[in-house]
Amino acid sequence: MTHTAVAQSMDDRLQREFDELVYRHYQQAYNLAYRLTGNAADAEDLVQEAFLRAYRFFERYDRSMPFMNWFSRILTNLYIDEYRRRGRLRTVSIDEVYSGEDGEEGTTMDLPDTAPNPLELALSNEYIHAIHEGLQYLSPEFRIAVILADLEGYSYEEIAEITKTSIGTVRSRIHRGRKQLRDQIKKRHPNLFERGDLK
Amino acid sequence: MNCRYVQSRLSAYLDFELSGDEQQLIRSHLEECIECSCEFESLRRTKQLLRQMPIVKPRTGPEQVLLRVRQAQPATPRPAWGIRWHPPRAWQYAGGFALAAAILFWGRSADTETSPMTTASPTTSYFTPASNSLLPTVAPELSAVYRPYAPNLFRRTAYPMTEPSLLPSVSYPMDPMLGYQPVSEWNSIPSQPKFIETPR
Repeated sequence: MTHTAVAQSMDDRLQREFDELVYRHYQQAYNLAYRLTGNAADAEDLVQEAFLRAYRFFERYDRSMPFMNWFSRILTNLYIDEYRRRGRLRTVSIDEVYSGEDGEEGTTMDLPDTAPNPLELALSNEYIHAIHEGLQYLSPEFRIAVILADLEGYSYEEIAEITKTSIGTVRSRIHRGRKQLRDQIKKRHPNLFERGDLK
Repeated sequence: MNCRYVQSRLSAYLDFELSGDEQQLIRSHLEECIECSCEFESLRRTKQLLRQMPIVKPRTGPEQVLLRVRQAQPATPRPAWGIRWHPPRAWQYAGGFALAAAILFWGRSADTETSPMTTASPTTSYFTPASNSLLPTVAPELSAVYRPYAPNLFRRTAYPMTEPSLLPSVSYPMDPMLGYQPVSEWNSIPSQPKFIETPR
């Protein structure tokens, strides 16, 4: 076996491993990107870009760490970079009437198909939109911390590792982020915070 | 434990991210304080709402991602120390030669009458024969004595010993308290090892 043949088989092995990881984590990665960016088009770009970067630096991936932890770091870093590059992230209201590329007007934004899982029907669409929009009000650092903790279920230690900050910073970001989010949701749907179980 | 402190830790308390003692202290405070428990309740509800957010399904599958990844080239692996090797540049050759020359000429300054920096020419190298006119003529027998090419700054060196030790059969005269040769004697001739007779 020549050196190039060895390298080739090595590449194939890595390639297969990477493909498998993409298939396994694509859904979760997209979900994270969607909650961060707030709209489907940006989420697709972000996921695409993050997987591309992950592939380019796959050599450096430490196998002792879960792939999603490593990948979340790439994705959140990319998101922060993009956010700073644009200055202020363009937020799109879901209800906003927009004009498509071909000039047709009056259509509303097509939202991605949310899973019709009976367990998840506990929240009505109205509330989901309120929370989703509330998330967009947070600053990117707070949003990342809250989303990683409450939507992705990471521990504070993992979030500190992903965002390369201290646990104290993570704790404060999550706390302040949740408080800001609560105030935002409360403005539109105060009934969500009345006593009693969720409807 | 005041309310201000408790309220700053409510999220961490909610996520079980506090130490056992602290968790216990905050729990007992929440049982007594209405204001803090209301705040806690609203944060708990916020977390509950977030946890119930549905998972969003992407419009396209991972095939789209993989298709673009196929077109990209993986970055060439970098060595752990982060420097990529390349053939030496001209200035690096020059630097290497300068360094080698500096090491070679280090010990020569005391031997020649003039500074080696001013007489730096191919004829002053150590490879020149002893008959070279630049070599000291004051004590010609010394020039035949071996001199190290590059005396190390930290070389353990010979130093006159006060009395011979009895234990080793071959003893190198050396001051155990000094260890290193004084600077003033860097260019002196190292004394030869002494062979000492030990009683059997």
